[in-house]
Amino acid sequence: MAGIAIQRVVKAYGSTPVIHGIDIAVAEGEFAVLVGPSGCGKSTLLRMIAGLESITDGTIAIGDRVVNDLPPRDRDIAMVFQDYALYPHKTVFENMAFGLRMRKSPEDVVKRKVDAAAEILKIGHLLQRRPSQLSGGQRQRVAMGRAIVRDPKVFLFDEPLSNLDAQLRGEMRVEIKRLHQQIKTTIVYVTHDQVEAMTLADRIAVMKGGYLEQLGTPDDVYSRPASRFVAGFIGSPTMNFVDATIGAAGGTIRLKSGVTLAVPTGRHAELAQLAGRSVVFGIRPEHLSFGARGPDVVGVATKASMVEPLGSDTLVTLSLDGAEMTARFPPEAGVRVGDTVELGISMSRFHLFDPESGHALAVRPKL
Amino acid sequence: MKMVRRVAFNLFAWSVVGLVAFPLIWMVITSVKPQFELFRIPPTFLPETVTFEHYWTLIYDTPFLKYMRNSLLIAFGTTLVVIVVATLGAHSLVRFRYPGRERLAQLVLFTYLLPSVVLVLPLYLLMVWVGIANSLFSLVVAYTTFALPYALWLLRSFMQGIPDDLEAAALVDGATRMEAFIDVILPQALPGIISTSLFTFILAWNEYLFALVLVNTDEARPLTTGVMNMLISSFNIEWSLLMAASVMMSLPLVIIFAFLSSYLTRGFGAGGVKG
Repeated sequence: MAGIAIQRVVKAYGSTPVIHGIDIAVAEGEFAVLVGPSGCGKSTLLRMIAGLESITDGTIAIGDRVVNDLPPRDRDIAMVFQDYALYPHKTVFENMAFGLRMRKSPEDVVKRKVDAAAEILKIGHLLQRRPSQLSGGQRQRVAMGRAIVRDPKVFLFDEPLSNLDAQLRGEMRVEIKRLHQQIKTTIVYVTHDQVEAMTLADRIAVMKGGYLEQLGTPDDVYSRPASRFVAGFIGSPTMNFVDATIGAAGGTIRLKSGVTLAVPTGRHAELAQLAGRSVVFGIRPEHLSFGARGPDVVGVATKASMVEPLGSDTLVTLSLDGAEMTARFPPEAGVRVGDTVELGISMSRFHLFDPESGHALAVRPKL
Repeated sequence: MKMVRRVAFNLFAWSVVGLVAFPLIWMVITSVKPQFELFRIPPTFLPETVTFEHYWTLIYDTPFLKYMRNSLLIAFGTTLVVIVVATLGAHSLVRFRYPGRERLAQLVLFTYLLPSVVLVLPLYLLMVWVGIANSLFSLVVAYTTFALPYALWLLRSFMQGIPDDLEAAALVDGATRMEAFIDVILPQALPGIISTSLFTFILAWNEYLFALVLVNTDEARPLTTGVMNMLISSFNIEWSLLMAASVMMSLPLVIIFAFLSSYLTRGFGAGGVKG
């Protein structure tokens, strides 16, 4: 096992940079997730760790060894690919044994290790089949099996679940998490799915356009997003954003629509320095309630313009004089389109962002 | 009604097959007819007496077997050279990024724009200059020059169908580039390699013009020019021997086709869609 140190790493194709100097340190045994929209450079960064892409500038170290110039086979890593990349002409056993045989392991060791991995992944009965005879979920398991038999220092996963259907994706997510708890090897996992990122990661690196937007625990990126982009990317449904202005001494926030919200006294000092500034006010759907009850909750009159029942919750889109917000209500609320609803805004949970740069302005204290 | 239509369709299909196959059938029949039966009027369709004397004459009394050996050496040699170079070349064109990659692939095809007649004399002079004129090797080189571009493009479209990640997985699993190429890429490209080999083999086997110009000794003459030279003169055509020779010349191709035709059609299909 080993950690990974990514320092000021740059990737450019010709004169076009795609990764602009990224620093990430992944601790030994940690489950790190690189998340971001397509084209943000997360897969490129992963392939640079694997040695499949050259590094234009900066260094990547696995353990205490800088691997910039090492070919993939000398990096002691294993990788699971999005399209599985199983060798179609080899059986499942041969697929899993390939890495060990390349390293000239004796045949009895190969057999023992493949059998052990097959048992962990419950694919023992598939060993003599070919990849074309397997279902998507089984192929995914074989791809993971091929990675774990090698007992590498680091596992790399490149969007491993994105080709599976929703149900299977959920099951495999649990299996991957269980696998990590079992073998405790360092994992770097790339996904564009924020649910996967939140559920699996010890730490999440949110990337955008070749830059690292935020690196932190799932709670950090959810509760204390460093930018409007992170706030909007993490969480589903996405955070509500409304243009607003901070009132005198930070005591109020005036939304674009004209509604003025009173800020709880505990956050006055934090907001005082922003007095008079234009900001983007952000609040998550789960921090909006049906009716204004409880401390620090401000009530606003709104009108329901759309209702999406999910069973466990109901997502309601509400309009307040031009601005729209989506709230997560309990199904018992029984809201219908056109109803007038008193919306409770939890004023201890809002976020403020700079309208220009998108940086977070007020950092909500840890609860 | 359905029945009638099916019978009509079958009759039509078989008559087309008969039309196409007739010269071949006639060739086989003629080759086993005795000489005196050939020019009889009215002609006989099935031979009255079957004889293999023409075959024996060819094998024992003429350099036919020598030509056959030359043709086999040239065809296998050309196929080997073309496949080795084209497989590696196609892999390079698909997997590696370097300046001028596309231009290079197009330039290779450029040789196809020139008619063989234009190339044959410069090529002959080149062979003389290098000192390999009048040899089997000169024909292998000549055939390679025009089989390679097509082979390269055919294999390139095959290789493009092999996912990049397959090679990446092998590299991460501990293979060197060469090991990944041999263990993972080659098995995937096998249908393409087989159909390209077939194409090259047939091309080399049937070639006439270059063989006529570049080679003028029996030691290096392949079947195509050898048989023509031996059996067709200004005054006489040895029809019986010619037909027997044609049957024997077709045999290797028929055998190869019988075993590998499924690969061949698959190969042309893939090349057609992606090339």
